[in-house]
Amino acid sequence: MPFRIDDSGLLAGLARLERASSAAILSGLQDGADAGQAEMQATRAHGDQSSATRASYTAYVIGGGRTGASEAAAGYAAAQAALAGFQGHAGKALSQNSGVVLGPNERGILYTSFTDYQDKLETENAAEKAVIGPTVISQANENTARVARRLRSVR
Amino acid sequence: MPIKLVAVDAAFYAVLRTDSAGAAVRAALVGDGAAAVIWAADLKLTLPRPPFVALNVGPVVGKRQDVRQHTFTWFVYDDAPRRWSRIDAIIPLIEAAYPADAITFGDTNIVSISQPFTDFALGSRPARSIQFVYTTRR
Repeated sequence: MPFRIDDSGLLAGLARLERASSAAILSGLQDGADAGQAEMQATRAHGDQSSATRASYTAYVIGGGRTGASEAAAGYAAAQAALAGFQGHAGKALSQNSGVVLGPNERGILYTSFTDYQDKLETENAAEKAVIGPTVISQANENTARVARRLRSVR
Repeated sequence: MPIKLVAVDAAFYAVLRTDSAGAAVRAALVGDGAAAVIWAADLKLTLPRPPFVALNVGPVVGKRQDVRQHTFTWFVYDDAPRRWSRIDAIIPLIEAAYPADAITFGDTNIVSISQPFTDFALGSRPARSIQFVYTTRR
C-alpha cells in the first residue's frame, strides 16, 4: 500500500517564506538607501554654490523589479531646478546610464548624484570633496546588518 | 585597548614615506623620493616634483563590538606629458608595499585601483588611486 503525504501546505509555506524574505531584503536595502541618501545630503566634504549636487544626492534600491527610475528622475529634477538660472559655474544637470546590470536574483543600492561635475568632486585634490565613495564605504557593513534585521522579522 | 586613530594613520603613511617596505616606491618617485610622499591635505602647499603620491585617510567603519575598518587611498600623480606610464608602474609597487601584515594588530588588503583620470584641480595632472582597507579588532 503506497504511503502518501500531502505536502502542498509545506510547499505553499516555503513559497510564502520566499516572498516574505525577498520583501524583507528590499526593506532592509531601502533602510540603507534612506540612511545613505541622508548622509550624502548632509555632507560637509564640500560646500554649496548652487546646491544642485547636495539636492540631487540620491540612493535607491535596484533589482527585484525596482529600477530606480522615479528616484533618478527626482534627483535629476532637483539638480535641474537648482542650476536653472545659476551662473556661478558652468555645471549642468546630468542623467546617464549607470552601467550597473544586476542578475535576476541580485539586489543593490545605487548611490549617485545628477550633476556633470560629480566625478571631479569624487577625485580632485586626492578626493578632497568626495562624498559618494566614502558613503558607500561607511554604509556597507551597516547595510548588511539592516537586511539581516529585516530578515529576522520574517514569520 | 583600542588603537589610536592617529597611530594607524601614521603607520600606514610611514610604509611609503620611511619604511623599508616602501623603498621601491620611493625609488620610483624619481624627482623627490621620500619627499614626494605626502598627505593629501598637503596638496594645497608646494607640490613635490612629480611623480608624487598623496594619502587620503578615509572613513573608519565598525561598531564598538565589531571589527574596525580603516580606509586609506593613495593617489599617484604625474606631469601631463608623462600621461599614465610612470603612474601605472608605481601602482603595483604600492600594492606590494602593503602585504596583509603591513600594519600590526590587523589585516591590510587592497580594495580597488581606480581608472586613470585627470585631476584638473592640480593642473590637469594624470592620476590614479589605489585603495586599501585595514581591518582590526582593536
